[in-house]
Amino acid sequence: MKLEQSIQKRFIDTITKQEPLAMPSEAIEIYTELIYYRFLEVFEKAYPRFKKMVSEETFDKLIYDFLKVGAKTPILWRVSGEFKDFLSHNNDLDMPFLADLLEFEFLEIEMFMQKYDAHTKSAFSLQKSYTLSKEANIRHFSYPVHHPDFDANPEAFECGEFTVLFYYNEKSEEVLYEEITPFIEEFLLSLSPNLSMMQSIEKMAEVYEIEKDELLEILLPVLEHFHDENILI
Amino acid sequence: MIPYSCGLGLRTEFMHDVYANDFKPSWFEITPENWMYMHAKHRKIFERIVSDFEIVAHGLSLSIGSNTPLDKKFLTDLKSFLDEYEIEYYSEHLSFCSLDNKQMYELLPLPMTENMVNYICDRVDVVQNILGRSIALENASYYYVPYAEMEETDFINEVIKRSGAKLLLDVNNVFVNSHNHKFDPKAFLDKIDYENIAYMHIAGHMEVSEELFIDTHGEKVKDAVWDLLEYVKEGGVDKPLLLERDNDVPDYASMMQEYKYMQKIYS
Repeated sequence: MKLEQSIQKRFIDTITKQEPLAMPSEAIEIYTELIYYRFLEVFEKAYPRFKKMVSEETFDKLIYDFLKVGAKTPILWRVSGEFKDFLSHNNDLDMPFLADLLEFEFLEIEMFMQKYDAHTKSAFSLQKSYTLSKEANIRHFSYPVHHPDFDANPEAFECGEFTVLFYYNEKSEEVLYEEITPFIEEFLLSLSPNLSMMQSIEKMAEVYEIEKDELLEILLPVLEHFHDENILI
Repeated sequence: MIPYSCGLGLRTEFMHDVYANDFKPSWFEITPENWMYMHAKHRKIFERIVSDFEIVAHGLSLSIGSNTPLDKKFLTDLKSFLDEYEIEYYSEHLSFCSLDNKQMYELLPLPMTENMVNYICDRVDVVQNILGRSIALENASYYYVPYAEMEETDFINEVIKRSGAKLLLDVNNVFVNSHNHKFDPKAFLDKIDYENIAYMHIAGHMEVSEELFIDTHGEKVKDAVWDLLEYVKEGGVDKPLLLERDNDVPDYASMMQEYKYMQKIYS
């Protein structure tokens, strides 16, 4: 199979522009275009915000550069994750927020492709125990890529620490997100199936030396909202 | 057995309208790679359709002619998916789409040699053992012949005869290839072993220029391809037939119009 495989390798190297054309050009160009458009279609759907921030020429070049590195996954939607990793190591783009933006955009795809369990809803109760749903995701960003005005002028936003909670809303069939404080994150991660919600609040109040009732007043509407959205189960 | 009738490639563009229409195809074909991890928006309707209709899975990522060892994880996941949804039939392409672990997501032409026939037969055996199903392989469209020591018809017949796989005869691919590589499609079909056909595909293509047609699945089936299908039927082929549409997918009502036309020709 050496002969066959060397022919196949040369063919792929040529259609991905890694080897100069030594074959009938029209046929090769068709394959180059077919492959390019396949990747373009996937990447422009996966990263619409990033695509708007760079020129068409830049986007095209990034696709061809990626083709040379090569995609590994046989599952097409996952190739966007490989493209994200590839771009995150690209220092030519002068976009310090790039890794955050791509992570933000790809997480939405990952969450859409996740299987969600059916939840039976009961009223929120402080006497019951809850944990953070495995279907919800918390991400830390250095740039506020979740801010609605970010794309219009990314340079106007300063680097910092931003914690964002992502969840899937079954009714609207959308991936939604909201910024949360480090305190809320710590509280969510501290929840245990062995403790009632009230016990978890009491524990947190003790650690931070806050009045339990004061903390309850602050947390209750937030926790009820999280429960409504299946973030707490 | 795949129902001896007409089927339709299931696409997200119209799948939510299937139950709103009185007329329905006899069976659907799905691309398993698109459903092994499915979009939350489509899960309910997909599961309803899969439970109500006979389904054939038509894969894209197997890369039967690749030098890369078969992806056992992918095949195991595929088997789980086929088992979960009780899908008995699985077909793929006589081509390759990856090499040295690089995925191209495009069906690429194989060197047509005796060695390649043997190599593919060995790999079909592995695939069939892992999946616990016999598979069918489709004659691919191609715009370039990288290397050939044998006729394409001999290549196809040998692979099918020796691997134990069935043939998925794509009539549009034969037509497009015959135009681009200037051979007689009927003479080509005359040399194909019809007895090993599992089912057939028909689709539209784009006439880019007088010299070049591209297998886009983005338009209605051309009259010349319907004529070629008639020729296959006249040759005694009485196998299930599927209409494919992958690009510029119209609404369900329009798909059904073309489906009904296919049914008329098929019967």
